[in-house]
Amino acid sequence: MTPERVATATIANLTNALQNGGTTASAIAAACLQRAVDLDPVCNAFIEMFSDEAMARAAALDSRPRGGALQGIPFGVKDMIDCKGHRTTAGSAVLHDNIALDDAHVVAALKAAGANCLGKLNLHEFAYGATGENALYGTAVNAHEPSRLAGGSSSGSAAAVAWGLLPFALGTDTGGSVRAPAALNGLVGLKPTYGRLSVRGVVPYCWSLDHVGIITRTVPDAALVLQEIATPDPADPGCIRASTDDYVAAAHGGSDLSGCSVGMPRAFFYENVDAEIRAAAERASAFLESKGATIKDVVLPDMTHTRTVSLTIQMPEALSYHMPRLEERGDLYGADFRAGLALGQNLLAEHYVRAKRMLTVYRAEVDRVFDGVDVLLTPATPAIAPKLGAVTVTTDGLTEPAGNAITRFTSFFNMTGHPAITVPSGLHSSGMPMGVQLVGRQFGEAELLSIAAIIDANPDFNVPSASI
Amino acid sequence: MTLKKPELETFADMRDMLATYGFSDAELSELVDPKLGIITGFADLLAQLEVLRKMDLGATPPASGIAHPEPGS
Repeated sequence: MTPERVATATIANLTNALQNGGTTASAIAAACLQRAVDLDPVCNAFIEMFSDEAMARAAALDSRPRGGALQGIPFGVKDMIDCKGHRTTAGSAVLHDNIALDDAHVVAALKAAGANCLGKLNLHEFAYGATGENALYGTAVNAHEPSRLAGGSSSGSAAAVAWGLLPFALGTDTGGSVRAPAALNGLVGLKPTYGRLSVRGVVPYCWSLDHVGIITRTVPDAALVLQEIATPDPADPGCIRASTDDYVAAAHGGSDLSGCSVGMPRAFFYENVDAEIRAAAERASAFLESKGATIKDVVLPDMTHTRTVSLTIQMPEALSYHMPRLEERGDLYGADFRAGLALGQNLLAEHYVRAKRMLTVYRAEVDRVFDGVDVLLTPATPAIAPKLGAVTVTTDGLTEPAGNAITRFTSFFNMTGHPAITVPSGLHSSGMPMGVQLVGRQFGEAELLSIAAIIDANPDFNVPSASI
Repeated sequence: MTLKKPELETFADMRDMLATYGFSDAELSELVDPKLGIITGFADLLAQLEVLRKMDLGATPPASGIAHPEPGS
């Protein structure tokens, strides 16, 4: 397998090549690291590469008998996620000396499966923002047009996969920070149900909304990774202990959608959207219908105050985590994050509790919607990736801050906790990727992956790898 | 009730009277007259929270974890 082929290969492609002797873990790691060395000065995906460590591990993996599907497969993690012996900076000078004493649960699970961690990936400082702009480590840029943002906050995770530096990456998703950048880069972004994945060893941003997520090139690849990391973690009190479904089988479950109902929440999620992105979501709906699904219009809760509710939970929780570091080294925080923390300090306790009660209301209302449908289908984002430096985005007459636009359709499902996945829905006339979002029942990842895989397998919705 | 627009002095007094972190006056001014673009106005946020405050949520508790149907999970 040539280095060029490694750059666009799926996990399944690499696994096949490893199993039939067409390549080695060492050759794959070397190709990825060399490409990262060559391209990272442009794309700013990495904060740290584990070059020597990764090559040594690849050699050790090559000396073992073949194991599971992830043995010898490289990956990277957003630098909110601990890797033993390495810094976890969260993209901030504040944590410049924060050496992880252990692997995060999800990293340990991937290592146990034989995957090879190549390094730590860039992000918006402390995941506070969806543009991925980072003054300290540079801003990760979009592989399809480097004058545009990769999106964030898991900007480096999306950029690393889209630029062909890694076949998959982990990120964190508190308002869409995995799903939105994946969509803006023509990738698959999965946020499982709240509590499905352990967050032990992950720098918190907002405990009530934080999820670990997965960025891959295909839906079956996302299923492979989820299968390995969705293991119970008794040391994380928020991680459920339930057994997992067979996600891999679900993602290869065929294309018959007879008996499946797809909900279209037209209010809010289909309003003020780029016309081509909306049309692509409608085409995805029609395609699912052609496979036997029933399409139904559904009504979700009133979205008027959802961003207020989210912010009212985020900032006091972020302040609570950061208070010791603010006292010790507050001058190292970025000005925008400090402003957000100041907001968190001046909300009332009753505001926070009321916002948490609104989450209960939202969850119950969306659960009721799932009494009548199996999945929801929405555009992933209202617009294509914004230009670097864009402060606002105007879409179909609505002007909003760029970060708000990027996460407009994703953040609600962090509040309700429902699993959600973004899948490419084709290329915009500008040449930029578009995506759709599917949302499933609580802990319904298998069903969600099975339906997402059907869209993913349709070449009409494919986004070709970026020409680099 | 129409809320009065928050003033810097109020935030500064709260900082000085309560056990809080010492954000500078310039930072607290961002809540009154936002310049950074992330916080789009504390007054607007408070006005929206006032709407939520008037909603009758009955005995709805704050959200916690999501229960899995599998026993013991």
